[in-house]
Amino acid sequence: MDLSLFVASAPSGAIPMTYVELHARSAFSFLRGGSLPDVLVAEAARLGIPAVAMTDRMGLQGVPRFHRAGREAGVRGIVGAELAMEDGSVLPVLVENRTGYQNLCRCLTQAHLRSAKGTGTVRWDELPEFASGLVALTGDEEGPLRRALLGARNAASGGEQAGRVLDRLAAAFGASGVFVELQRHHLPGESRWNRVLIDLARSHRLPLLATQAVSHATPGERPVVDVFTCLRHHVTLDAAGARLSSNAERHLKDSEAMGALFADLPEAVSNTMDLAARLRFELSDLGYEFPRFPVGPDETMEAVLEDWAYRGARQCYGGRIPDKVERLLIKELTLIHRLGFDGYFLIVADLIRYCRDHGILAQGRGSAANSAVCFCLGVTAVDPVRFDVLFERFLSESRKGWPDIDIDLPSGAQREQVIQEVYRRYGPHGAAMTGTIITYRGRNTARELGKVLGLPMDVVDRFNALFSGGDFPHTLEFEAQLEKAGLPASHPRVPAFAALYRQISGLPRHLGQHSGGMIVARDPLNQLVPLENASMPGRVVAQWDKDDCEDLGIIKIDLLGLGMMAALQDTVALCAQRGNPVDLARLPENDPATFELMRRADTVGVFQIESRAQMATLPRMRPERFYDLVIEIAIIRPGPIEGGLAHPYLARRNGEEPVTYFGGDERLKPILGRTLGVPLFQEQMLAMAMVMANFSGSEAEELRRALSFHRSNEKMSRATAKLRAAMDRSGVDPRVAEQIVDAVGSFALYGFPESHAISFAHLAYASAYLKTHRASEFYCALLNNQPMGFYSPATLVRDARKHGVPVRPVSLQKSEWSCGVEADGALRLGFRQVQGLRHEAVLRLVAERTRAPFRSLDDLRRRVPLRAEELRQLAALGVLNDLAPHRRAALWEVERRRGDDLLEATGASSEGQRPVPLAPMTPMERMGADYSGMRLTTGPHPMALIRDRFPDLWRAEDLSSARDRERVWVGGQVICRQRPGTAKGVCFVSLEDETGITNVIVSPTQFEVERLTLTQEPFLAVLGEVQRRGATLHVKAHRIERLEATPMVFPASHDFG
Amino acid sequence: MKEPMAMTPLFAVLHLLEFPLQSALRHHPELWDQPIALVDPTQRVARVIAATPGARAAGVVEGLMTPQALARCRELLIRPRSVDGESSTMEAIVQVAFGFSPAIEDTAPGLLTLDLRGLPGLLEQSQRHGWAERLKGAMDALGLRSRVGVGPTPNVARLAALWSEEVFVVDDATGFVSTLPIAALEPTAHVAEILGQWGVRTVGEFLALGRADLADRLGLEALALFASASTTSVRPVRQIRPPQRFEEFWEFDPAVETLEPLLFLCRRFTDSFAQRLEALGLAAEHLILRLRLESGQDHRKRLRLPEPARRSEALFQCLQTYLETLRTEAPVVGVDLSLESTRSRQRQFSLFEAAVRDAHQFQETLARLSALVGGDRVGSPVREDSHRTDAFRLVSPDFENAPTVESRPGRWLQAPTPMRRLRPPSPARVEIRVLGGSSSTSITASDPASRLSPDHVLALLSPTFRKEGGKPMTVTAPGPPVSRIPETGPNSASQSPQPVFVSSAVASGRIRRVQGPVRRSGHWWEAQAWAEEVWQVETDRGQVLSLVCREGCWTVDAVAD
Repeated sequence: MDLSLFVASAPSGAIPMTYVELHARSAFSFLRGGSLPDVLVAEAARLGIPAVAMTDRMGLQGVPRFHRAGREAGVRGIVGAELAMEDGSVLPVLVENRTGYQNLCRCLTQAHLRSAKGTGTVRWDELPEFASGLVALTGDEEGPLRRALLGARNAASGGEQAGRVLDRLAAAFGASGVFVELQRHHLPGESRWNRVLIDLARSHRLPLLATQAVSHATPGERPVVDVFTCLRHHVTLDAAGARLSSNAERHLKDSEAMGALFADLPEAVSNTMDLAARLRFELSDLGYEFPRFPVGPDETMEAVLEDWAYRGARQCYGGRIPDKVERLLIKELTLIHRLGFDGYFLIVADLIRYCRDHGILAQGRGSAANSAVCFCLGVTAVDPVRFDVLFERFLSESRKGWPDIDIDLPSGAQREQVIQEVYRRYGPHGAAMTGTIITYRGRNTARELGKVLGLPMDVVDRFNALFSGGDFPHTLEFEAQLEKAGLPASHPRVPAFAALYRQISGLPRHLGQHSGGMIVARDPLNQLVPLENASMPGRVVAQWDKDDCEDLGIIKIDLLGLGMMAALQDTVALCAQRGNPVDLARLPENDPATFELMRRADTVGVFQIESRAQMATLPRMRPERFYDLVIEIAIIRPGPIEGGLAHPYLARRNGEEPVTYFGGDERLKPILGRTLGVPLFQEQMLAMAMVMANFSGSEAEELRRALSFHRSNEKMSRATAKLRAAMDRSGVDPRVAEQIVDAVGSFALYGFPESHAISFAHLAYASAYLKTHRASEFYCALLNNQPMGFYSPATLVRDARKHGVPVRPVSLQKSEWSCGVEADGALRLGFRQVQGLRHEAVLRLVAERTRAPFRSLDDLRRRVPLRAEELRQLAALGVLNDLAPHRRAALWEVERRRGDDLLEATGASSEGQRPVPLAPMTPMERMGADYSGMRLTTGPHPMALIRDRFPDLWRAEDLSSARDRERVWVGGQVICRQRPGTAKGVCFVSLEDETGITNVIVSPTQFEVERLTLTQEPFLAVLGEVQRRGATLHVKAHRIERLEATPMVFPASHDFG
Repeated sequence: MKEPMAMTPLFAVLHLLEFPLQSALRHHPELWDQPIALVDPTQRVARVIAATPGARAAGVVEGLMTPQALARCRELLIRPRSVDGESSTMEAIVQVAFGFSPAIEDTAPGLLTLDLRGLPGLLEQSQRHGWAERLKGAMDALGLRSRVGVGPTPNVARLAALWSEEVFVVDDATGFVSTLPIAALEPTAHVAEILGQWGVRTVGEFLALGRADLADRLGLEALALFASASTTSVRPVRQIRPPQRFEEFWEFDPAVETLEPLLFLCRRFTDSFAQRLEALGLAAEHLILRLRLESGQDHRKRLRLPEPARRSEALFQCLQTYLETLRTEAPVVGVDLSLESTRSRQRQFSLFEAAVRDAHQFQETLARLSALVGGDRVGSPVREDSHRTDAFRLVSPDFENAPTVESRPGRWLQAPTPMRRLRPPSPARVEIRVLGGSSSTSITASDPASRLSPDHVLALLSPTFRKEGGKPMTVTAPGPPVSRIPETGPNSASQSPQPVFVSSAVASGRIRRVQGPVRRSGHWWEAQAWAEEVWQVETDRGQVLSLVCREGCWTVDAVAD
C-alpha cells in the first residue's frame, strides 16, 4: 500500500505562524466571489489576519472600498488582480510598488479596451511589458500551472508543460517575482496535486506560498458563490453538478488554522508574511495630478484666474464691482491659490465658455453656487452676495479633496457634445466617465434566483409584479410577497430562495457608467485606474465610481443632463424665432402671474415643483417671491420630511404656530431666521454645529461628510455622538441638543445645500415663467424633449390645451420632425410623436414638401420612400388628411399596390376619382388610433367618450363642490403613481379625466390589499372620502376597482418611488 | 325543380371549445365552475390563453399577464397548458368520431372535419340536426364541451362550428357567412390590423369591398380570405387513418378486485395491437397502462419493452409480469392501455458487442426484482454529476448501446488510492482527538443515541468549531461515555479533530497515520442537503481504511486489501 502521500504534521503545541491571505476574490469579481470587500476585511479583522490581498478578476473595482474598509479596521489592503489570460488560464498578480500598480492598470486597460465589454484577456507575449513591480502567483485550479498539469496525459509531459509555464513566468517577473501557490481545501486528490506543485517549485527554485484562493469571507457565503457559478454557466443548481463548490472551505482562515493546515510546510505560511512585507504599495500613493490649464509663457494660472474672475465680476455687476463682492473675491481667490486649485477653476470655466460659444446652456450647481468666483466666472447663476450663502460649504482650508462643481447641461446630443469635447481635450487615456456599480436589487435578484433554483417563471413574474411600479420602497413582507406570488412557505425551495435573496441583494452585478461624472488627469488615467469600453460607443469608463474617485483624491466633473435645461433652451430659441425673444438671465423678478400659477399648483411641466407632494404643498406655501421658491424646492425632500421639518415651517409661515429657535436660543436666530427657525438647508446645519457645538468650519464640514459619505449608520452614529458631546461641553440644554442632533442626523443625508436649491429654483422659476408667458413655446419644447419630468406627453398636451394653447395634430403639409409653434400660437405636433417613423424619412419628406407641395397620396408615395407601415401609421393618425377626405380614405389608398404605369408617373392616376368604400372613423376609433400611434390624442379625453357609461363617477372639476368627508366615486386614467419612501407606505395616485386630475391617497393597508389592481390597471375607479385641507383636495381611497375602458393602447403612467 | 338533397355535398365539423382549457380540465369537470386561467408555461412572459366563465366574469381575458389577471380576480387559479393532455384528448375524440364517419380530417387541435358524403339517413335537415346532436352527445359523454356545424362545404361547416350555437346546420350559407365577424376568416395579424383600421368588422363588409380592390391592396391573402368565405368551393378532406391510434379502454361494471378479468381484457388488447402493428410494419416500444380505481385515483405505469416488439405474447407478458406484482388500494373501475410504436429495427452487433440473449426474459426478471425490492433499486448504476461519494442513480438497462469509457487528460493526477468499497458501509465506533490535546470523545454509528445533532455535524465540518473563547474544546456527543486516550504523537495532516481509534466489524485498532479529511457537501438548497468528512487512516495493525462521518455517524466505507 502506497502511503507515501500521507503527510506528517508538526508536533502539537507548535507556535502558530502569522499568516497573510494573498489571494482573495470579492464580489467585485462579478459572479466569481461571494463577499463584499468590506465583509472580507471585517472577517480578516475578526480572525486577526493583518493583511489581505484582494485579487479580483480583471479589475480593481472593489479596491477603493477594500482600502477604505481596511484602513478603518486596521487590516492592510494589498492590491492585486487575477488576469484572465488568452489561453483561458487565470494568473493572480500582486502589486509591489507604484510602478507595479501603474503597470497593472495599464495592462488591464489594454486588455479591456481592445475587446468587447466583459471579454478582455491578457496576452502572454505582452506580459513582460507590464511585469515590473508585480509579483505573480501560480493560482488555483484555474491557474496556468495546474491547467498545464491537468492538460497533460501523464506525469512526464505534465512536468514538462508546467515547467515551461514556470520558466515563462520567471522570465517575465524574475525568479523572485513568482510564487508557487498551494491551497488545502480538503478536496480529494489535493495532497497529490500539492506534492507535484512542491516538486515543481523546488526543481525551479521558486518559493512556495500558502493561500486559500478565497472566494467568500465565511463558509456561510458559499451558497452565493454556487449561485453565481450557475448564473455564469446558465444552469440550474440541480443541473450544475460538479461545477458547484465541493465544500465551503474557500473562506478566510486565521493563522492558527493555516499553520495547522500547512504544518508540514511552514515556509509556505511564513512566505506570506515575507511577501506581504515586500508589497509596499498603498492606494493613497496614486500620484494623481489634475491637468494643468495651458497659459501663455508670461502668465501664471493664478493671474489668469484672477483676471477672468474680475472681468466676469465687472460684467455681472454692471462695470463696478461692489465692495462686498470684491472682498469675497479676494478671500476666495487667496484660498484657491493657496490650495492650488487655480487650474481646476480655469478648466471648468473654460468648459462653460465652450458651452456658451456653442450655444449650449450650462449652469453649475451644487455647492459651487456658494462661490463668488464661480458666479463671476459664469459657472453658476447664483449671486452669493445677494443670497448670502456660505462659501465654506464649497471650499475651506481644511476641506479634504477637490471642490465639487456639477454642471447641468441640456440632456441629449448637446451634453454628449460636451463629453466628447472633454475626451478630445484630454486624450483617450486622460479622461473617462466614472463607473457605477450595478448591484443586485429586488427584481433582478428574484429573477436570477428563480432561474437557478428552478422556480416557475410565472411565479417569479408575479413576485416581481408585487414590487409595484418604479422603485417603490418595498413594504411588503418578504414571506407575504412570496405567498401572494403563489409560492407557499411550505415549498421546499422557499427557505433557500429567502436566504439567498437576502444574501445576494446589494452585491455587485456589473460595471455601468455614471450618468455624467467624468474624471481627468494630467498623466494618463490608465495608470491610475483601469479603463474599459462602455456599452455606449465612443465612451471609456473607469472602473471606479464617483465616491471612490473622490475618496482617492481624483477630481470629478459632473456633466449632468437635465431635460429641463434642454427644454428651456428650446423655448428660448422658439421665442426668438417667433420674434418675441426672452432672455433667461433677465427674466422679471417676482412676476405676479408666475407666482399665481405656483400658488394654484398649476405646475404640470414646471421643473422640480410638479410632483404630487409639491403640488399639495404649493397652496399652503403660497410662494410670493423667489426665495419662497427656494424653500419650496428644499422642503419637499426626504431630509426635511423625515426630520418632521416641513410641517412646522408651513405652520409658522401661515401663522399657525410661533417662530422659535430650538428652545429660544437667540444664537440661532441669524442662522435660522430666514427659514423661520426651522433648519432647511445643509449650510444651516453646519452653521448650527459651529455656533452650538463650537465646531470650526472644517469640523462642521467633517461632520457633513461623515454624515453623508456612503450613508453609513456607524459613521452617522459616531458623528452625531461627537456633536452631542460638543454641545454638552458647550452647555447646550440636553433637550435642545437632542432636537438639533435629530435634525442634523435626518437632514444631512438627504437635505439640499441652499446654493443647490437656489440653482434649481432658478430653473423652476424660469420654467414657471415661460409656462405662464410663453406657454406655446414652453409646451412645444417640453414635448420635444421627452421623456422628462413626471407626466406623459398625453398629459402635457391636455395641460397645454387647458392653458389655452391649441394643439393641432401632426400634418403632412405643416409639421416638422419636432413640434412647432404656428403663427397664431397654436402648437403643431411634430412627426417625432408618431411611433415607428424614421427620422431620415421625415427629413426627406420635409425636403420634398419644401421643393413642391404634395398633390396627392400617389405623389407623396412616389417622391418619399416611406415604408408601408409608416404610410399606414400616418394615415391612421390623420396625418394624410390633407390629401384624403378622411383617415380611412387615406388608409384605403396607401394600401393600394403601386404600379409603374404612366398615369402614376404623371400623378394623374384615376385612383383618386373612385369613391372610397370605407366609412370615416368614429370619434372613439380616432382616439384609439391616436393612442395606438402616438400615445396621445389631440381629440377628446378617453374618459369623455366613456363618461356616459359611468354616471356615478365625479368629474375632477366637480370635486370642488364636494363636501369635506363626503363619499364619492372618482375615476380616470392613471397618469402617475407615487409611493415615496418618506410617505411610510402611502401611495399617491393621480387619475386624469376630461376635466382635470383627481388626487387619490391610498393607505398602506389598502395598498397591500389592492396592490396588483393599483399597479397593473390603466384605468381605475375609486370610492373614497373627500379630504380638504385649505385649497388642497384629496380623495382617500376605501375601495379600488378596475375601470372598464375601451380595449386600446394607453400611455403608461409614470411611477415613482 | 328542387335539387335532391342527397346530391348536395355535406360536411360536419366538430369543434372542442377552448380546447387547451378543456384538455387541462378534462378529468376535473368540477373546476369549470371555478375561476381558472390557463397560461402557456413555454412562453417567457406568462399570459392568459384561456379562462373559465367564472374568470371571464371577473374580467380575465386572453392576453393578460398573470399579475394583471390576479389583479382582476383574486381567487383566480392559474393552470399551465398541457400539450400531452391535448394530444390525449384529441385521440379520444378521433376515436369517437370514427363511429360517425369513416372519413375524418384532423384539421387542427380541437377541430375535426367529417366528410358525410355517402352516409345514409342525412337527406333531411332534421336528420342532419339529429345526427349532429348525437355526435355532440358522444362528446358530452366524454366530458367534452363541443359544437357541431354542418354545411355544404368544409369551410361553411367549420364556420358554423366555430361561430354559432352548439349544433348548427347551415341552411342559407351565403347569409350565414356574411354576418360572421371578420376574425372568422382568420386573417394574419398584419391583415387583421389593416382591416381593423379600415373598420371592417364582418365578412359581409369585407366581401363588399370587392375582390379586385382587395387583391390590389392585400395581395394573395385577400384571395385566400375570399376563398375562406366561399360557400361553394369544396376543398379535399385530408383523411386520417384509424390504425394510427393505439389506445384501448374499458369500463368495468362492477369494479374488479381480482387479476383474471384484467388479464383477460389485456390479452384482448394486446392481440388487437399486435394485429394492427403487423399491418403497419410497426413495433411497440412502450405500453402505457392506466388503472382507474374506485377511490377516484388513477394508477399509471409506463412499461418499456426491452426491445421493440409486436408479438402479442411479448406485449402481454410484459403486462402480466407487472400486474401480477401490483396491489391497488381500491378496486379497478377502468383500464386504459395505449402504446407508443416505432419502426422495427434490424441491427448487427459489432465484434465485441454482446447482446442479451433474451432481452424480454431479462426485462421480465428485472421487473420481478423491482416488484420485490422496489422500482428505484433495480437498474444499471450511472454515476451522478456530483461531488458526493458514490452518488449514483439507477437507469433502465440500455440494450442498444454499449457503454463507452471516457478518457480524460489529467487523470494521472486524480487517480485515487485503490480501495475495496464496502456496500453497505460498515458502522464504526471512532474516537476522535481535538487539537492535539488530551481530550477526546468517542462517536459511534452503532448506537442511535450517539448520533450528533445537526449543529454538531456542522461544527464538525467547520474549522470554526475548534474554538470556543479561544480555547480548545471537546466535542461532546450524547450517549456514549467519553473515554480518554493517551496522546498518540504526530500523525495528522491538519489539526482538525481527527480519528485516533476505530472499532468496526471490518477493522479495529489505534490509528497510526491519517490523511484528510476530505470534506464534501452539497444540495444545500433543499431538504436533502448532505455533508460528509472522509479520512484515510492506517491502523496500528497496518489496515488502511476509509472512514466517513455523515450526520455524526462514522462508517468504514472502504478498505485497502
